[in-house]
Amino acid sequence: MSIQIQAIQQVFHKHVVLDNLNLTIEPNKIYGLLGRNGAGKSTLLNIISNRIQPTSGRVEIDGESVHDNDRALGKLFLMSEVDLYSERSKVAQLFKLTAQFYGDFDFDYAARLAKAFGLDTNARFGKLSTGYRSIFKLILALCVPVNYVFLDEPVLGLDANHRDLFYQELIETYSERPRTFVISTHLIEEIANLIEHVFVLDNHHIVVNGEVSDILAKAYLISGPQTDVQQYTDGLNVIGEDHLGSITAEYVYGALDNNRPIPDTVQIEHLDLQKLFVSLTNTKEASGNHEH
Amino acid sequence: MNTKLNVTTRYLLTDQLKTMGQSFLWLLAVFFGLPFIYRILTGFRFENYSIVSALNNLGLGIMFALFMFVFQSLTYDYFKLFIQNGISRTTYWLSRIYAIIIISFIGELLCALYSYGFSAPTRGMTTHQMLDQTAYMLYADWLGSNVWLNLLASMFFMWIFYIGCGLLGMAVGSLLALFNKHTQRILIMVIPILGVFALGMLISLTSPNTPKFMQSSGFENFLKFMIGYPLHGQALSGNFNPIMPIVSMIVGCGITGGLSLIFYKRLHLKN
Repeated sequence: MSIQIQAIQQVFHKHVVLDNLNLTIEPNKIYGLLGRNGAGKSTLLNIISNRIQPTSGRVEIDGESVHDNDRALGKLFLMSEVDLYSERSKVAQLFKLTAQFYGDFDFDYAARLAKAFGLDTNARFGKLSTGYRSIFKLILALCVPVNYVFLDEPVLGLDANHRDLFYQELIETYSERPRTFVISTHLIEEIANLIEHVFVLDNHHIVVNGEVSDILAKAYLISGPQTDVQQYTDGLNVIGEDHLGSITAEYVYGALDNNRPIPDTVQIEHLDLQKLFVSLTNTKEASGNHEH
Repeated sequence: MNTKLNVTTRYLLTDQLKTMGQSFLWLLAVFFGLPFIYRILTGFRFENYSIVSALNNLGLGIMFALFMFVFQSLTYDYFKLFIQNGISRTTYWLSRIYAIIIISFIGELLCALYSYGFSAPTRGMTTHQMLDQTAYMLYADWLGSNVWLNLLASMFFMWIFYIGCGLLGMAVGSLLALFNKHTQRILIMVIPILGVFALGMLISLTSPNTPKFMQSSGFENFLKFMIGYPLHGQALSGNFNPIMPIVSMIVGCGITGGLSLIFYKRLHLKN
């Protein structure tokens, strides 16, 4: 029971977007899919949901190919940035339509969410603002009876209050009915405490694939006088650095050398997910091989 | 029929019948409204205007055939909605085929009601006389003197024809849906021009004015075969063989349907 992404390659106009991607998405887990603009996150989600077909490779859900397969496609829902609904349709009609296609749609929960977010269900989809379009799609994503929910930029156009409400609802619905969520977003700090597992997509490849706690456990911020810091980090996987006056901070991803004494002037802390992501995707030359 | 196919077909049927109905009402409004406005603007001469004669000149069959082609060519918007809702390309294609068959049947029933239930009586024509005015006139007597049998055959003939129009629309629409808007515009301009040239060339091959070495009777014979031209005896209107065009149309439906399936399988979300 999982989604298997096998040797996916996607080439658009001779430009490689994804290169030999292999991933496993397990049931009942919250994933973060991180990557810079144009890294190929949406392309990957579109391939998983069979909206586009990969140049090569295969996606399987619970052992079945998603390609042209109603049963497999019925197990997942992708809430994407692009609007695929008719502008003329009313929100309530689209709830009913989604229920017809997916079955067992949670209308009570949808009504509760619409009220909490202030979404007018009699409004036409085309008349909704960007934020409310996102809210509408989020409500669908939370109410459809699927095992895998993919959220591509789920909080696009949402104000801070609505974003907060969405994160609360996500945790609540996940604890009530565990299922897999894959969240692709640039607001890393906001989801850092929410996700259990992270994929970082960079330079057409997955450069980080692991449990957030494991990854952060080996992401370090080492600061102090420049010479002391450099002496300590010599030979380690330094993925970035910052300078403030005479203080230098170097970011290390990977195991530290336990046999190496830590100078009194040097401080070691753990990096947060956003800083780790920025460092990993900024400094390709310094970072070396980040594959995990 | 599985649940998803059932739901998708029902959605397509409802949506297309609704949109076709609305478009038809708009056309009626234009059809009746424009002459009316014209008459108001040019001197209020209402006495020469007859709603019954205007209704008789509607050309419902041609309008429905055009509707079938145009509405079935609309591909991408439905694809977006269905792929968002976990419907595969093949299910979408199959539900479209079912919808075309059902809509064509309903459309043909309405056209027949219009022709034989309204148009014929108001023009003072018999059913057989009306049958001789339709696209089936070449075959109107093929099944003998029983007018109802011939009428039924004509309805079947027209049903297949409307299905063919819908399938052709499906094939063209799905082919266009594979390209971006710029390429679509080029194709929409180039394909009909090429088609007219190709048709002109084929017709010229059968013309007696064409130099002998370029003449071809093959195309002419093929056309005659397709329309059921009698092989022996006099070629009288009404006695052509409808089996040939029906089989030709069914083969054409198979080809356009097959092509559309190939194109549907390649549909993808555009940026």
